[in-house]
Amino acid sequence: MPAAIRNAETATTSVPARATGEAGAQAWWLIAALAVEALGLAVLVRLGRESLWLFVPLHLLVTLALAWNVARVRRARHDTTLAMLGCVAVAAIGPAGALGVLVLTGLDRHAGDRRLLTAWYERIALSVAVDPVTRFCDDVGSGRMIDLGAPPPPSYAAVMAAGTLVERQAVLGNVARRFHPDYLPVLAQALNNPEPVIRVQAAAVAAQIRPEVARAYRTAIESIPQNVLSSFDALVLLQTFEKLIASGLLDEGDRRHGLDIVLTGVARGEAVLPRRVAFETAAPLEKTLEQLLIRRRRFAALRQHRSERAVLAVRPRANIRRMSMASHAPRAGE
Amino acid sequence: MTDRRVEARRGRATDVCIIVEGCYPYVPGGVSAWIDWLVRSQSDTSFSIVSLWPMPTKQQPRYALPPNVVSLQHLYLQSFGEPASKSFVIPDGVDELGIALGELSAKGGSAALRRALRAVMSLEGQSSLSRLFNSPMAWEIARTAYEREMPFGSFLHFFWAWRALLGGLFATLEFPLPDAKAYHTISTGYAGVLAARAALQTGRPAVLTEHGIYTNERRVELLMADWVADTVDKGHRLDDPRFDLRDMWIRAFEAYARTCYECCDEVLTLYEDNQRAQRALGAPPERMHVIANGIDLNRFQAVRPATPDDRPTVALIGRVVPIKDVKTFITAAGILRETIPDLEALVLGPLDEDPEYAASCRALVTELGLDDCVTFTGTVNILDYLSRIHVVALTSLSESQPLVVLEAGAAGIPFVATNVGSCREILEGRADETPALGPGGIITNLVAPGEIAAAIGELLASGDKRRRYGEALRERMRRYYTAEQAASSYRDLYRRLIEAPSRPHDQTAP
Repeated sequence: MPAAIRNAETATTSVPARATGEAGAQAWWLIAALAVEALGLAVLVRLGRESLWLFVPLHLLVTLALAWNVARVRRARHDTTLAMLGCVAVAAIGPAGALGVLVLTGLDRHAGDRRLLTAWYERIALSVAVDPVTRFCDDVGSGRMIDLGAPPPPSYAAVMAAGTLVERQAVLGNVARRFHPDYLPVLAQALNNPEPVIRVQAAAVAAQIRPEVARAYRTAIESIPQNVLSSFDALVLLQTFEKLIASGLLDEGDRRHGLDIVLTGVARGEAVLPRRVAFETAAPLEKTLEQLLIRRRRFAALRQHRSERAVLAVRPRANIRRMSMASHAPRAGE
Repeated sequence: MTDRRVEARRGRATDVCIIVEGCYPYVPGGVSAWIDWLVRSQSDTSFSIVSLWPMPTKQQPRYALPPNVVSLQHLYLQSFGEPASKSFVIPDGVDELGIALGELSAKGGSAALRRALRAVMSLEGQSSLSRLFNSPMAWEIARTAYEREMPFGSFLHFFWAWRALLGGLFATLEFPLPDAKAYHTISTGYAGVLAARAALQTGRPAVLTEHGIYTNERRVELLMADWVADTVDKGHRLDDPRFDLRDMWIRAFEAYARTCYECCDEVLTLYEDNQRAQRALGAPPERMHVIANGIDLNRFQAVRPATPDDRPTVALIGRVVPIKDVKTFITAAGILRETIPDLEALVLGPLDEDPEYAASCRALVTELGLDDCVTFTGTVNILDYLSRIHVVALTSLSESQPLVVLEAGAAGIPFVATNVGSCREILEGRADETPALGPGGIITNLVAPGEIAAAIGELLASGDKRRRYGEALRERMRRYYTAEQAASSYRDLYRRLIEAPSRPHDQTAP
């Protein structure tokens, strides 16, 4: 039987129902104790002082009955708290104890039920808040885990270019639910898809993830150190920025602000090109940086960047004497 | 909810019963406005309205019912009420009902609908939504369905989804049908199932007019929704065969659409592009037609086009909300301003619907140094502005058949619009337009400020092109997009449906 059904069944037939029923039964025990003791006391008072000693065996009898009830509850493996409390309270102060416990039970009843109900829901919903280990075991046992034996997922860009309508829609669903900046080119593809249905869905996705794009951008900016931005970090950041900017989902103002920060960081840094990064690996990043430097008319930085690249292309391990880019801060006219 | 006049007329068969989900007469604009227009434009036709809602709505009607609306009834899909009393005896035939409803929500089609209707009828009024779906029997049926459909999933989530889906379906099937000569649903979904049921049970024709494609809208919503729990970890795979809640919801709405398309005599929409989606979802091509919305051309006859001597002006007419992508318009204005320094960019529309977004648009204007270029007017009468606008732009991420394009077209103002909804069809004409009138504007990609700026710049730079495009658009509006033509099309349609002989039908109507 599937785990969820099993859990639901267990929960349905035991936890809330049984607990609620037991609380009700205890209330009746207390009412009975209260009634017997109060009635006995009233009768004995009416009979006269000399008869009052008879209340002692009556009280003992009631206390014994309540003690037997505690044993009964324990045998049934129910919660004995209420039964024990009632027994002790009645033994100590007679009918007043029964009345007090009844009042407390009434006050606590709703809160107790809610807690039990919440716990029950958490359990059958397989919430990790209850028991992450059990949840994990259930997931494995019930076959809800990711299928590790399946072939790797397809390239979303390829699906968007040539997949079926349903596949393309599923891709966009994943883009919306599992946002990552790497998905943005796929989204851009979808926004211009020849199929109107895909364009409409892509538009809905774009509207939904716009705040996420802004958040990713802000996070990237906040990750930049205050003082010096190493060249490699700058290039990686530039690439991230380019992805976010290419999506068209960023405001122009944010875009300018981010690029300024990166360029300032580069200008403060010691080098444009990382020493130990293979030229091929850095090539796409290099291209991004070059385009940016040209757009921003920072030709001095561009010249230095290109000369270093030329040297490193021939001698990758060359120890280039670094010049502070600060000395190449843009001059008027650049 | 129903006024006295309507109560007084209740009981008479109407010409047309309009079935609508979640809008008229309580939600302003959009489809509600269209229904209001439709009913008023057919003053000789009597209407009954069935308005579908999840639960009784507390909203006040936003439209006064026209005199030709005879009745307004409400169908509540999720009104499960209180648990059944202990004396409730589960009627015979309930198991069959569970199976039939399951089949209808999984496969759809007229055969499944017939079977479900027979199952509902076999209960002979012994049960109701609240009695059946709050009973232990419902629990048992849900358990059976769970074991069959997704035994690996979370039962709790399955149960509530199952209850919502099949409860809505049962409510639709047991709802007392208004007596009408034709049934007109404005969407598929539960409204579409009710129309399909009306066609089967009364033998009277049913027709569907879809503005947006309901099934696709639901699919988009469901694929992106956070409220639908993913109980199976499918990772990034697209072909994982394990059935999950999202699949169940989508499958149900597709099944409802299939049922509606199969049972409706005509499947209408506003523009050709929508027909591709309808066809893909199973609509029979021979029953598919387009009836476009129209506007009152007379309102725009007197508008004088802006002259080349006027300050170069481009306008976005619409609400300042994210779906209109006003920021792309502002960015495009920024790009254009580099080549047209005296450019004026107007944003004509209310700013109060999404104040946060409106504020961010204003901030962007300041950030780009466009305070002297971009103006937010708020809500205005566009007739006061049209004669100073050279080009109208629409940067929306999603539209159906945008009224603003029709209005600007009627005023002879060329348009630059993103490739959404029917914009291409309006600006470039339908495939079968004879004679071809030529373009009335330029279509661009979405979220492409550079491309949009280039298109606007092209039109601003050439007075001759503006005039040609404007005239072509105005002529297209005159020929194909007048309110009179749309009303006339529906008048003809209703006449055909009302006069059509009844078909053989299932007599056992609830």
